[in-house]
Amino acid sequence: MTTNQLKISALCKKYGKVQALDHVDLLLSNGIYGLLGQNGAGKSTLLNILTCSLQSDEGRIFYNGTDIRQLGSSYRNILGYMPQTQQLSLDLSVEDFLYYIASLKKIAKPKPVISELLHKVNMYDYRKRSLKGLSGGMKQRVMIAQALLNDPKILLLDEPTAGLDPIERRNLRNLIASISSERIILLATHVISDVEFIASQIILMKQGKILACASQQSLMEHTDVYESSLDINTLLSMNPSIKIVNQTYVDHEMHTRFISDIPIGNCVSTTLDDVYLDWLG
Amino acid sequence: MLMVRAELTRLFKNRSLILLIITFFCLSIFQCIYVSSEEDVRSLSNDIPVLETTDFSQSDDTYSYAKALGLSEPAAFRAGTNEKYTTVYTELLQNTNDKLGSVLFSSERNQMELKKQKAILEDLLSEPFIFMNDILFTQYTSFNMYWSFIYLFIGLYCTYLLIQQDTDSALFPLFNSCSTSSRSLLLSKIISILFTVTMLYLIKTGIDLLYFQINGLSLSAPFQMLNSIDIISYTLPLGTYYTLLTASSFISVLLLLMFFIFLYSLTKSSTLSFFVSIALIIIEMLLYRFLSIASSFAILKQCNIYTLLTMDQLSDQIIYVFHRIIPLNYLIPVLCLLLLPVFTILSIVFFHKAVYRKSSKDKHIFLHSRHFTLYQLKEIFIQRKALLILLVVFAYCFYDMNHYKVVKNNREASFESFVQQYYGPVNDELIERIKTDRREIHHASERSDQIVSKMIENDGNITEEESLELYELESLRTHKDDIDEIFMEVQSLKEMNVKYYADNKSLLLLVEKKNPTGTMIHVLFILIPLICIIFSTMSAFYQENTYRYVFCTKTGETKYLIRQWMHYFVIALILTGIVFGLFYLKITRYYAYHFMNQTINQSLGIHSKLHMSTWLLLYVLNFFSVFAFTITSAMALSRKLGTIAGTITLTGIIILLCIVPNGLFLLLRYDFLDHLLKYIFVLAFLVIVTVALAIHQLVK
Repeated sequence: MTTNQLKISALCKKYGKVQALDHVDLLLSNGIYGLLGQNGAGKSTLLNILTCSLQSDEGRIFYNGTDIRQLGSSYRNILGYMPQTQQLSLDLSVEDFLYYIASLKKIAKPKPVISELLHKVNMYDYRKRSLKGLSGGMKQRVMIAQALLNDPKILLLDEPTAGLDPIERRNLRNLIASISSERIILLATHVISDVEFIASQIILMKQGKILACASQQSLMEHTDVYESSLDINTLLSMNPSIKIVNQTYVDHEMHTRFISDIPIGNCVSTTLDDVYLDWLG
Repeated sequence: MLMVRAELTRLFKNRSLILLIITFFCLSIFQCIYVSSEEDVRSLSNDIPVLETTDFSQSDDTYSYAKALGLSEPAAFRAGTNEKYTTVYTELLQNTNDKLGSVLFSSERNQMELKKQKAILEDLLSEPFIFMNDILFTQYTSFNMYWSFIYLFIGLYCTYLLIQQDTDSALFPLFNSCSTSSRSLLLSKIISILFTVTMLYLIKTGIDLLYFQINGLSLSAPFQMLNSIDIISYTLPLGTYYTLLTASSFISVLLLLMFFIFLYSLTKSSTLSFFVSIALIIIEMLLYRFLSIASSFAILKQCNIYTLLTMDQLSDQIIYVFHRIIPLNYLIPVLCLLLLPVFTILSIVFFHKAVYRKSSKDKHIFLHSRHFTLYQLKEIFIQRKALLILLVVFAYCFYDMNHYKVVKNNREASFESFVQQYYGPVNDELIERIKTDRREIHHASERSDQIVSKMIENDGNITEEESLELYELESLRTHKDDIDEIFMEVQSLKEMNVKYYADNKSLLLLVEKKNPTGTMIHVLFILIPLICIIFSTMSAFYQENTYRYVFCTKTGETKYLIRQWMHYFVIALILTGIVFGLFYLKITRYYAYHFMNQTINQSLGIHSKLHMSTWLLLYVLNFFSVFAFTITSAMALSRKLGTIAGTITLTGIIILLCIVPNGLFLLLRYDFLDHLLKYIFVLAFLVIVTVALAIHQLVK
């Protein structure tokens, strides 16, 4: 098994006066990384720089120790990217579209690769169908297939499950998990459940900065979640810094779930949602 | 190679392009049929075997002899031309020989030119004259100007399609992550587009050459066979001329393609770039037409893409380049050679940047806004770029309005400006006025004759007073024939009890009596942009699923569709205003208009006692019924068809409905009241179809 390493060092990007990325440092190796952050946190900017769609103002990116600017097109050869789009409005069939992208990725004999990928993403039976006539989920699967055409070492996925139903979402998650052993997968999303089950590491971003990059377990250990039937005002008077996660009405009683640095009520197990709220809320 | 193949697959998977190509071939076949069916072409084809076998040299008057043999007019003329050519070239040869011996032309350069001319003339005289159907050739090649526009359009459309799809499908970020560079990407696109255009070009040229072969046209014959005895142009064989002719349009396609990509790279809007590229051609055309040759900018007439498209002009240029080394004539090839790489480099550089910049679409629907109409109009005119279409229509009409002036000769223009002062009620006062003016002009003419004869007797010497008087009299004298004609006409009008001396020519021009297809062209100039606008907005409305939000709002489906229909009708009125408004200006610019005071029997010769204003109202209503039909059908079809496919289909349907006997065209003819029953039937049919379509759409 080959080990891939992507090192992002002091990456900065400014749009006018807005600091989109502020000295981002990351070290990524084989596995799935969930990139979480609010809107405008800088996730897309980071992905755009990693896909060479944007140039950073400062900082460098190294793949296995070599600057990607020196690598040039050989860096793009090991890159797979799935943009956040369901707008595929080409008049091509699924198969033709994959042939088209294969030509852009300079794959000499694309037929067996395309056939294998179509089976993998369960689109083989729909290979002759026009892209325009596909459902959102099918389009996402086609986009995954195109990203995998060159057997990439770095796979960047931007909101891969957007617009999918729970079953499609599960299928896609399983697919991503099945291909994660020999590559770096960076998955940017708002949907926490997407990364909850498959990501080995979670990257939390806020206002262009990396707040945390750690395993789910270690992040959860830092967040204490409690549940209580006391009303919110009482809870706040006991600890003004608590963060309310949710409130549920059960058996004529209001139960409040919250994050607190001092123990109040019953301690419950922490989820990734709680972590997200704790860091970014 | 793989990428080019992939881009080609993308292009040919597009239904609208396939439709365009089918239309292209249909037009090609239509061209062959149309040219072959021309009366002159057919008669000349039949008579050529006789021309080839008959010896005309024995006859003194070749033309009369040919007519006596029962040959048609064009054939007899060509028999006569044979003799004329021989005479003219013999005379020219004699003249050249004289010049060669003259001291005046003793410079080395002159001698060289003359010797070359002599050799060509001798060569030409030694060859037997070939009879061929040159009308067929000229008619056929005259279509080439339109063909070059079709190549242009297809080239531009292919580029537009590829780029538009890339933008709509947000593929640019994906391209960046692929190992292919943006330059290779652009080049593969350009090569695939050029391949498509080249393929069409080769097929079309193949069809042309086959057609010429079948009709016995010798392409190796010299250019002078085209009924021209231009000394400069004779050495160019017809085949070379034709190849250069068609190849030039190909160069223009390349230029425009590069310009389009360059523009797209700067603006990020493929639709805008598409329309601006088309507008560029129109602007160049206007520049070419209206720029005076004496102007200091006359060079723009030569440095003009439109020159490349108007083949006749280009052929002249090529011929000049072949025969006379004048720097100006190098401008066209220099322009191509310079501009092409410039645009190519600019396109590649800027396209590279364009790929790296993200574009986003702004989709806001202010359905609950009370400014709904304003929003819709803004969407149609600004966001969907309909304003550009309006500008193009306006530019054409403006061109047409000015072009008319060029067509008229000085004599006609002088008469028309003179006659205007007499338009009005036909009464004794008018006749008296004309009589007085006539007497004055005749007197001036006589006096002028006297002075001129005096001048001849005195060897050109007259007094200064007489010279001034002659100058003044001459301006009056020019209207001598005009006033006689006006006097006769007004006299006859009085006898016929016609109330007004009016300019009926203007009205006939308005209704295009002489050229009924003219009306159809004008109507199509309103309908095609209208259809284009409807499809571009309504197709997007359905295809982008906007209708799902709209139909569940307070506005509702029925109300929304009715409002949209009204907006389109307003646009139709604006277009009518532009087309016919400028047309009306064109007429009033050269003719006075008093026809509104007459009956249509007096002015148009229609068998009806209706007053002109009533007729005009009916005529306008006919137009409106056609607009209503077009708008309703376009709105219905837009559920299924995209902008281009829809525009082509509906325009085809309307043209078909117009050209079938007793079809829609009956409504657009000025004499529709002469066929009252048919007219009522067509109108009823149109109204029923429109209402049925509307009900079907609203119920659906």
